[in-house]
Amino acid sequence: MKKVVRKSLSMLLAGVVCFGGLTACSPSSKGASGTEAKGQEASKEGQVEITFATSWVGVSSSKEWFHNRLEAFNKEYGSEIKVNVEEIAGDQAYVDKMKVLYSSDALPDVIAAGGYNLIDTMQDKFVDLTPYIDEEWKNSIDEKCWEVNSRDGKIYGAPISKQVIGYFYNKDLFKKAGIEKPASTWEEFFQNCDKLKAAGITPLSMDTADSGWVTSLMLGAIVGQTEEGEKFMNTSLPKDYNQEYFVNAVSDIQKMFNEYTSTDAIGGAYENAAGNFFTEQTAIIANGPWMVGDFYDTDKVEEGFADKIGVAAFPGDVMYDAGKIGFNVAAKTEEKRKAAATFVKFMTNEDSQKANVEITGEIPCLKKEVDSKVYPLVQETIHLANTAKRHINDFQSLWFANVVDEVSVEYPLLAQNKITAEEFAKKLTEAAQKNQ
Amino acid sequence: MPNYQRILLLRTIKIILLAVFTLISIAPLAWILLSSFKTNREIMLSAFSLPSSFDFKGYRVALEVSPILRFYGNSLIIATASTILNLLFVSMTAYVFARFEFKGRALMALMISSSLLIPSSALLMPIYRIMVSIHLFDTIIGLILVHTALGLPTSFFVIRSYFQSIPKELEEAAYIDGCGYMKTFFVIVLPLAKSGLSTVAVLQFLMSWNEFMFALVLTKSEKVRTLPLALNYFTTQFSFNYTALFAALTMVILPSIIIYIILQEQVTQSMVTGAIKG
Repeated sequence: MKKVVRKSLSMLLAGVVCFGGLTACSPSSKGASGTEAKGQEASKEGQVEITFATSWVGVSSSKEWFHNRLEAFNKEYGSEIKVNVEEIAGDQAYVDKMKVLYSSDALPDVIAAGGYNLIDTMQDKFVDLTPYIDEEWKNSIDEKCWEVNSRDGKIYGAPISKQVIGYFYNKDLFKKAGIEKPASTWEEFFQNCDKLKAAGITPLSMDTADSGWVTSLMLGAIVGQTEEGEKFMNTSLPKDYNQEYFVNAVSDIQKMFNEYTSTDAIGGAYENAAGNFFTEQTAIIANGPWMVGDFYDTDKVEEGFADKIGVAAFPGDVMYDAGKIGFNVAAKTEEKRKAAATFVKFMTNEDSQKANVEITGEIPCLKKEVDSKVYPLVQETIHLANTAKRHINDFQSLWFANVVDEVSVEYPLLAQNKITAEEFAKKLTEAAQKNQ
Repeated sequence: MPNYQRILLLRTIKIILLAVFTLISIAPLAWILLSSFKTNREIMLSAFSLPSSFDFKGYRVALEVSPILRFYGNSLIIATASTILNLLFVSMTAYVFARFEFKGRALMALMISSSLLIPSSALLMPIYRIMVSIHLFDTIIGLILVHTALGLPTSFFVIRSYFQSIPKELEEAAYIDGCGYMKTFFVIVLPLAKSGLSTVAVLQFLMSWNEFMFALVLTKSEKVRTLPLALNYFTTQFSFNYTALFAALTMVILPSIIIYIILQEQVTQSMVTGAIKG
């Protein structure tokens, strides 16, 4: 009997190996996206080939947009420029691979790290795009978006969208707790959290892993409520976090961890925080409008969930409203640089940005308003950003990469009261000062 | 306490312990399997609830969203080939180290074993550069060679111990009967070391099957990439599909389990031998 089982298993495995071999060797096999097949076509005479590495694959909300725009680009420029796409699934895997390629001087011609700031670590390999940006292109984009992508007057990134973030709240749960409207001060915000808690509702979605995105947005918003805090949250690469307003904000975050969030916040990543909000186990989550599409996805939420959701500016009328790191170019020859600039210009033009907001909810960084069909919550977020008193930038774009990593290490300790707010600030300062 | 009661008590404790260990081993696998049939909402609402229905949507989505079948094929080829090569090279090396005295033997053995202590992240860049310069970047052969080499120190350590446990007299008898060096190794020694080789095969296969970082850095096209990379297609910083992820995980872990079931007896036997002979 035993022998029969083992023989059957061996046969099964052998079958799988053969099947796998056939699948792998099949010449007609095409990538899930079909992109690779396009990229593998032989280049025509006179065509300039450029390489583009993207993480817009799999379940990425930008996947559909990217394929749409790549197809449009190929239609217009296909005879002159051939884009070889390398798919790298996973944002962190993407950044990790770029770091290795940077060290080996083998970066792809075009990079889009989805908001991660690679400029400060890879500036010496990135191309100054200033000579390739004509007046029309320059004038069409919001100045603050160029600023985030510039260093010492040189432009190292072509922006595609703005970072506009407030927080989402569940109107039904607010009503149940007797809350009439979102808080206008942090004091009121914590009172609302107490009301939610009294009604048996966990007030906040929070996280600590992967730089604690949701939590850090709250932290930045608390810091940004004063003038000097706002200035700090718009400072590129800050090195000193031992500021009173920063320490006070960290204390508030510690209080949130201790009293107002779910147990899975410690160690949890964005998906845990989002999952709790989608299943109405928490009432508030800080995040950008790219999340709105999920409010309509009935595989994740209950039918009609989107109607229950409202969006608000952070207390003190603070909104994240800043430029975002865009496409970077690392091509080595002038011919490839020109082709890369053409590609990047196309991917960030008005049509591309319009498609981006419609498909992904990413807010355009154009000076003029685009007429686009977007979800009402996205429209509302744009309105909140336009009317907010204070405008801040997010930590991932501004802080040193090792400080962003340090945040994930320190949050769990802060949440478990193993370190104080002062110690947290000190740790970030130490990490920041390791950079030259 | 009467003897039969003591036996009954011991047997009960044994059964309870076995049941607990079985549960600990099987529960995560069962959880992954069951989760692959749940909707994302069901998973988020309760990680441990049973699925409301058994549909294969997650598997369909997993196949649509990622090139998992192609990666599956690549993984099987790379893991199988690197296991065979690793066994071949390491068994020959380990045999020489286990049986023959020569100058620098201890130093060389130390060098091979100490390479276990080098973190793989430190090897990334040099290996990347080597692969590019010898034109093996983004090739299946390149990955096979790297995986073969990565498993070298562990395999060497296990097999050398095993060879040392085989009585030398058997080989001497073979030589007297007219066996040459190669024949003695392949016909007499290797079959006797079947258990040790099985252990190494399992370890090497699993290492290659699960290896992520080199597979990411040393490849750029789908035609070469392996399964661990496919799992990244289901979660990004702001998007996720748990159902498809669990379906993909189920598909990914299946061969490892099958391999282990086939070779488990040899592995257990080898571990016992290793424990006695050191």
